[in-house]
Amino acid sequence: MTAVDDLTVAADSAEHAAAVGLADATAAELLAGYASGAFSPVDAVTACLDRIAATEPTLNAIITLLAEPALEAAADSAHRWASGTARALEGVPYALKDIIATAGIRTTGGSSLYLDHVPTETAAHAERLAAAGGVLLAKLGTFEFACGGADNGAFGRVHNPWDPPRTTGGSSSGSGAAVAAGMVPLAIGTDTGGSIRIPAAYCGITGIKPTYGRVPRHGVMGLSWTLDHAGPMTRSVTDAALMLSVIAGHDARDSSSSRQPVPDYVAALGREVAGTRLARPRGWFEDCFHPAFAAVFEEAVASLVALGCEIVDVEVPDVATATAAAWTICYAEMLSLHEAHLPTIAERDAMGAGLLGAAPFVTANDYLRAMRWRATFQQSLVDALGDCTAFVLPGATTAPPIMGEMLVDTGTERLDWLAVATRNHIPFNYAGVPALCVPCGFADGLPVSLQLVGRPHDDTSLFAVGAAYQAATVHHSVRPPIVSGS
Amino acid sequence: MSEPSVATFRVLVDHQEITALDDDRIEAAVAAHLGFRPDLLALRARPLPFLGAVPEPADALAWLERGGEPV
Repeated sequence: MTAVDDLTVAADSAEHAAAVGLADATAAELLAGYASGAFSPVDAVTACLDRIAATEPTLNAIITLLAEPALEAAADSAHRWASGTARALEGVPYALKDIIATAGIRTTGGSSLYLDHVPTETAAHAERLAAAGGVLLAKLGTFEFACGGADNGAFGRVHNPWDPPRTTGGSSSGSGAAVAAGMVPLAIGTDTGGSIRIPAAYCGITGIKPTYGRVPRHGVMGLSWTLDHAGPMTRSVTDAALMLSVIAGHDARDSSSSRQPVPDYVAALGREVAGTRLARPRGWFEDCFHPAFAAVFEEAVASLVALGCEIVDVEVPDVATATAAAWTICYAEMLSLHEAHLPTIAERDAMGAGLLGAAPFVTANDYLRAMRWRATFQQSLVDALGDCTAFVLPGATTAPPIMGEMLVDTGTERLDWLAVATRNHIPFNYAGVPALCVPCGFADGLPVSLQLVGRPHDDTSLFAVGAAYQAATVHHSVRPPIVSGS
Repeated sequence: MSEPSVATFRVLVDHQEITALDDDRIEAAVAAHLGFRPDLLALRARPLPFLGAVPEPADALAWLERGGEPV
């Protein structure tokens, strides 16, 4: 059975898609509707374009809109559905963070340095989305080179659909905003220290950083080859599984690309989770926790218990050291990749310039120590997991900061956002293990997020637990005020 | 142990023939370095053996490819 066949019998229904409006439908709902003939890919792309017209003036999520080619591709997809030759994502609109190369379409890196850069080759995973029948609708806003900060000098700030003065987080800022606002159901983000999961948490969507090497990085502007991951940002776990099924797999052009067979992620969605043991690492991961967000997270943990999951308190050792090691690697590899941008550092956006400016002071020995100690931390992480299937921890411990000040409120103090936002994420980039964020409620009208972190190449278990959680809750279906009008 | 200074960092920059960093940028870099220096020192304190099972960077990738199973 193909993924398309699976989805035609999925719980997500075309009727629901029609009821909520196609711009707010999930990819699974769109595919079900295409299959039944309830609506067409042209209808869906048109709905997304209407949503973009309504929300983009406020959100500024898009760098390059591809309306005409998308409508043409949608028409081709409609023919494929009619002729019985539909592929896995046939006619589903998607968008790409603009550090992902697209042949013939400008790819700016979110930087004034590459305003007119038009690649001749498409990134490996973007090729797969197109080959699966996906319809590329836009290239999306990003922190400059995936690290520049919320204030983007070339393209401006991307605004959070839940409260536009606040950041989406980043660096996949446009991906977070676009998916949350219903501009597209699917987007690709990249994650070096939380850049898929932070905007997923801040924007109330689902995002997965798959196991390192699972999705090829060929064609993605790099920040740190050891820590960089690409992955889905969606409005449901089902869609994330569907999208990862398409983009995962070995590519010889990426030397770190895994040769492990790609499991059936979609099949994992219906797996029974009662009896699943989840490890809760408090301490580091629940420091800096605003009480309102902590209260919602407790309710989410209780929901997992109600599903039959058993929560086990555990200790993860050496997380602070792992975090320092990860930043050491990031500094060193960032300098290696971006050395040519040093002469124009004064023109780079502030956060990235600050990181790049500090990079020369990482010694070769520190870098190599961080690389060599990585395996030790990986093993201690799995040891801490014990017989549990995954860790459960917050996706974010505070509300997204107001742009301009970029300070987060922990309830007791206001701290620089970057260190607080990345602390629950970058240890897992260092370890290379999969991590999934799902929305789990609201505090003061802003999304709260739950994160599941698993063993390497056990992304399927995260999908199983995440899908069960979303089947039992409605948080992922709540739409932001800019869409709902409330 | 003494902490590195702006002057120390300036020497390092000059040694690497990096000319693009002005004094403000170097001061910011020192501040960033000092911010995570305690954890960096903790990392430096981790023993990494010379004999026996000597960890190398590729070990982490191999561990991932084994699905987290030890050798």
